Amino acid sequence: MNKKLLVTIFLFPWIIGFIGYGIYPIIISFYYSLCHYDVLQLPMFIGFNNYYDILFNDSYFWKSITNTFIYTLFRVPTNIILSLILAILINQVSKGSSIFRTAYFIPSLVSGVALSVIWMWIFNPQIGLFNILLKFFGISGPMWLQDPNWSKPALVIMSFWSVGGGRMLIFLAGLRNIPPKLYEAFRLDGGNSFQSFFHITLPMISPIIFLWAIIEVIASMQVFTEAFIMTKGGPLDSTLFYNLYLYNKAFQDFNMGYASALAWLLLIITFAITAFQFKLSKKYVYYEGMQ
Amino acid sequence: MKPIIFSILGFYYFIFVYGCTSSDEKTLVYWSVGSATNDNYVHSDLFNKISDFKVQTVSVPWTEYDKKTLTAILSGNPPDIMSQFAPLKTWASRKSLISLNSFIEEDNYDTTQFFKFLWDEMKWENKIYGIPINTSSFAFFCNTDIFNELNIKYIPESWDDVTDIARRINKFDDDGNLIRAGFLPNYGNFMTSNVIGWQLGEKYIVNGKDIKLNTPFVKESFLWVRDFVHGIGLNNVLQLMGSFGFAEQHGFISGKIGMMILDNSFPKLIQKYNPSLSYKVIPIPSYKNSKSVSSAGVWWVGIPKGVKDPKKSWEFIKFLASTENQLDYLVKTDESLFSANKVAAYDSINYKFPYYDIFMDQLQVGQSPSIVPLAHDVFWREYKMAEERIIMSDKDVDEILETAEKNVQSSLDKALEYYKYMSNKLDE
Repeated sequence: MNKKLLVTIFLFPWIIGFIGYGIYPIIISFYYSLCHYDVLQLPMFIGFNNYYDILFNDSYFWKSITNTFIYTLFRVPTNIILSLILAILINQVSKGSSIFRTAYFIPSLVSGVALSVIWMWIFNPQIGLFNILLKFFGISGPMWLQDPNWSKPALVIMSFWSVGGGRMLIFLAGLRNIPPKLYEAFRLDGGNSFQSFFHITLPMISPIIFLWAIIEVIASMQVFTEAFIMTKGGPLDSTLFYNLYLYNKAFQDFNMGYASALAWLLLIITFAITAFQFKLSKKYVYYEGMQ
Repeated sequence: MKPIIFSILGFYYFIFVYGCTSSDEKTLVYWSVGSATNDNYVHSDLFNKISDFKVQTVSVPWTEYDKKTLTAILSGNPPDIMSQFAPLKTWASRKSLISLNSFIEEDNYDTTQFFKFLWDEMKWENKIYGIPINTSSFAFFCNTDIFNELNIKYIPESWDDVTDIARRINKFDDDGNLIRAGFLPNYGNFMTSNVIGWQLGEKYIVNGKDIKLNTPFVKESFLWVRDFVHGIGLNNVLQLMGSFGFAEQHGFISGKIGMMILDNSFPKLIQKYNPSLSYKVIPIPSYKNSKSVSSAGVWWVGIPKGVKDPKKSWEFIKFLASTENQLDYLVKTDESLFSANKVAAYDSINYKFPYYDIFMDQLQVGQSPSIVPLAHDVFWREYKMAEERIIMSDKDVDEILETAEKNVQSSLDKALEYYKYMSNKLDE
């Protein structure tokens, strides 16, 4: 039996799945983005009208994209920094670090929906944990999810729940991969621990930071569950994120053409941000052994 | 090696063919909207005892119902009978249902057995697309424990009465936090602004195509709600509402709200989650001497486009809506929805439910929430957003209502254009 044929046969189910559930929906969604289409009836071709309406007549689009950018801007750096700090702290522990690793990792296993319900109670203005703690220190807590000024920060704070997850573990692996001789040489040259962090640790783990910056930006641009479960986009559209708006258009209004156009615009925006990050990475990411 | 390869290919083929084959071609499938009422009751059991063909009932969770039904119709493998509580006109306008006119005429089917306002909901462009099965209505609940505690001797008949009584019921803790409210017009499924709007005679749409949200009546109803909320203090209200949840945490069931507009499922819920709560149910108060109004949703059944044997589906639908079956359902379950069949609805068996007569009276003044069938979800989303903006932001009310009106109108115009296009396509 020809080896290539054998490989093809074994790959066959995956190829079918990839074409059926990957390639075809991508192509057809672009066609639908040029149509008015309610799922049950034939699509009506309207050219680029959906894109025009989104960009020039739809205030919700601008609101949702602004909300998503603000959320991303605060969530990505804070999450990466906190995960890195946690990894550095655990890296200092010589005995029983696996216990800390496990303890910090466990919260990240909780499903998004369950987590959202738990945090709804934590943010409860009257009986929530946060406001009770703040009250203990004599501070009157905010309304959190019911206040348009506090709803986005609340969701950013909620994202800290998973700082001990996979991101922290990979940072930890990266930290442990840094050759100790680099630190020894740095100390011999008169450098202290604080300086070694900026001159050795950060450059050596910069590829991991870059990796997480890309993954986190893409994930933040797709934020959905928290807003869908906890706020439904409110109050006053302050948590109407892009994917939630897209979902409303697709599965509440059944306006698949418009939703497809929104999805393509999100792809373009995310692609542009990622391309910008790659360009920026040339300046701050250090790859060992590369010029 | 060859036998292994052929075995793998054979397995794929088996899986594919098995997945594409119906389990039993002779059995009809009825998709029922799943509810928590009585999971053991199977809607087709009684029918299967007397019919020469079988119907299998599949309970689909209501949260997934729309998506599942849409994809089933789209894939050409719809259920033989579907039930729904979203506006029928929305489904019929999408050409997703079969017209029942020929069956009705052929059988000389008695359509007067249903409440007229429910029957009217079954029409789209002068054709019948569904049969009403159940309905519900709203009334005004008063917590009599609180009324007695404060020695309030009268029940509210107007919204002015509600305002006065609510002021007496509002209770604050030592820190100034609201811990009990008399009434919260922005909490609950049936919005008070909508009640007042209807009581003022507002229709929200003219000629079925012109949205009217920036009108004096709509403005008045929203401003009434805003003034009421601001009278208590916006932050106080939001803080208290933040402590509400489901079941025993519900605002009224927990005793944190003294008066509330609730539907007819609540006597049962109160009995389940807080049986010691004393309450009274009265008609929804009037606004400026207007009549009481209520909102009446309708649960209906229809035949999706693409079914194999519509005649058999129709036979089952007739049975579902029949007095015999409706009474059987009422006897065997503790369903709180009303039967759309008038004989079953007025049967004495229903009067075991507290305040049934009040809810039935409210049903007679029920208005349809299906105001803009072709843009139903957009309308209600914009309506709720407009209320939230009026209550919570400093923006000009006219500007807010104008924006909402424009957004709904834009969606409706597109839906109408699409509908026209599809109608022309079908005519071709």
